[in-house]
Amino acid sequence: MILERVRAGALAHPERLLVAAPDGQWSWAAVAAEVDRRVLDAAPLRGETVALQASATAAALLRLIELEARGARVVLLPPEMEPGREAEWMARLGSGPSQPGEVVLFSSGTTGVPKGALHSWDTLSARVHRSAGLDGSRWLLTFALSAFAGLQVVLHALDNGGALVLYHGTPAEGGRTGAEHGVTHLSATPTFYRFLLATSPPEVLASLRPVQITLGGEVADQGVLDALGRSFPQARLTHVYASTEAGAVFSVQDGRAGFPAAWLDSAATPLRIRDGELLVGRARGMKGYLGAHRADDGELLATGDLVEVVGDRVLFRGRRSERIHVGGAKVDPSEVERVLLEVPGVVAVRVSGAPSSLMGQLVRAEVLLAPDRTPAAMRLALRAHASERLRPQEVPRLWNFVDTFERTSSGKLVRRAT
Amino acid sequence: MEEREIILEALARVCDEKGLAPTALQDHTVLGASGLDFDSLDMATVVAELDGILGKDPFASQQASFHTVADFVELYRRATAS
Repeated sequence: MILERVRAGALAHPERLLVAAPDGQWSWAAVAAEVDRRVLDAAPLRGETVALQASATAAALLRLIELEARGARVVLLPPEMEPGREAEWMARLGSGPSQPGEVVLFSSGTTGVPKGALHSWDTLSARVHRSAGLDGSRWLLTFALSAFAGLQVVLHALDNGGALVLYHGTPAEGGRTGAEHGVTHLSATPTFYRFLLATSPPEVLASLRPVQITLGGEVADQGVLDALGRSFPQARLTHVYASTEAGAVFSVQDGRAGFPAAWLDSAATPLRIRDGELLVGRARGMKGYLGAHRADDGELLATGDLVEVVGDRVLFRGRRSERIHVGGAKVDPSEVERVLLEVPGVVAVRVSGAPSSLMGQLVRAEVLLAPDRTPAAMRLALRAHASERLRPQEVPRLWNFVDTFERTSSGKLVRRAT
Repeated sequence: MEEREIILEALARVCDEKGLAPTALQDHTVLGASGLDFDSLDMATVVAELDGILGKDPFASQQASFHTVADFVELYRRATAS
């Protein structure tokens, strides 16, 4: 089904760019010819499970299209997986027959052990739309091919005669590569955009002219939405709420954080709140976890995301599992992060709980500063700002100023339980 | 640096953040309400920082009590590294 799209595109616009990557550039016709050749030369793989480590290369993308055409169940391993651990990851899946068109993704695992989630090309395509306005669009792939969001970008480009621009390295490198290839569509995490805006030279930002900017994978706060609006006034801003488990669920395009509270009462959207936690319908979600029982269709899925209705808006209040317990108080690390990000000179923040013999946990902040800022001056400024905006238990007590942050292949900050 | 100095520095850092003059720190200075007015969060902060630097926490295994700066330093002198 993917190869058919590539073949159709190769007939309609053979010379148009399909993929630009560190290992080469391919037109639609070249990709179609290469994959057709491989499919003809090799035996079908129906019933077989084949692993693919999803590096940001044209080679990995072509292999993915080939495996789908040959009928294999594809297990996409994240690019950061250490070499030699393939067997261990595959063993997590257990055994069992596979159906053609199945795709296994590992949940990004910002905490804990990644789980294999079973999708199909049909479920992955459920929210991919085709529109004349997207013809010839160019998409910067900031997510790994092994991430749900990464595959959404790939399928959007393939369905719309678009091009995929792949790169290795930092968000600034992504921005530079994107500007060079004239990308029209950016889809990335809020963390990616904060790094992009803070670390790109002004001439690169000025030469990036996206018409569409999509945020996903993490909660989009008002600060990052406003900053993107200022830097890219011509772009439409969309933030998507999605997860590996539930599939893409909804998107918001009014430039405001959260989503309209009216959606909770609408029969059209399976969104509910129970005990402060967002529940979503799984109708469009994945088929189930491998090695676990399959949930009934139509069941509401607990997302682990805590929400609060404020006026006409539902706002996100962090992950249930990431709550920090300071004395008797519950602290939402995302709220603390949001407040610290308001301080000029702060590029990225990760807030977590540090063990404390006296309080159970204390709030710790790891902070990445813009190059022209010094920790000595910023510590007091951050502390003062946090004290003004937060309850005493929420104010970070332990501060680490770091040079870099680990990000997952899908561009989220790695969150480690302490 | 001597353990005592490290402890005084950690206390001074919290004083600094609370807007108190660090010169107020003497052996007989009371840490609680009748002195520097350190609350439980302030003390937990000092203890967590010192655990990171000295590798010991007198509050980890037992109920430890103190009144003055000198008492607090003494708790650390008696505690063994974890």
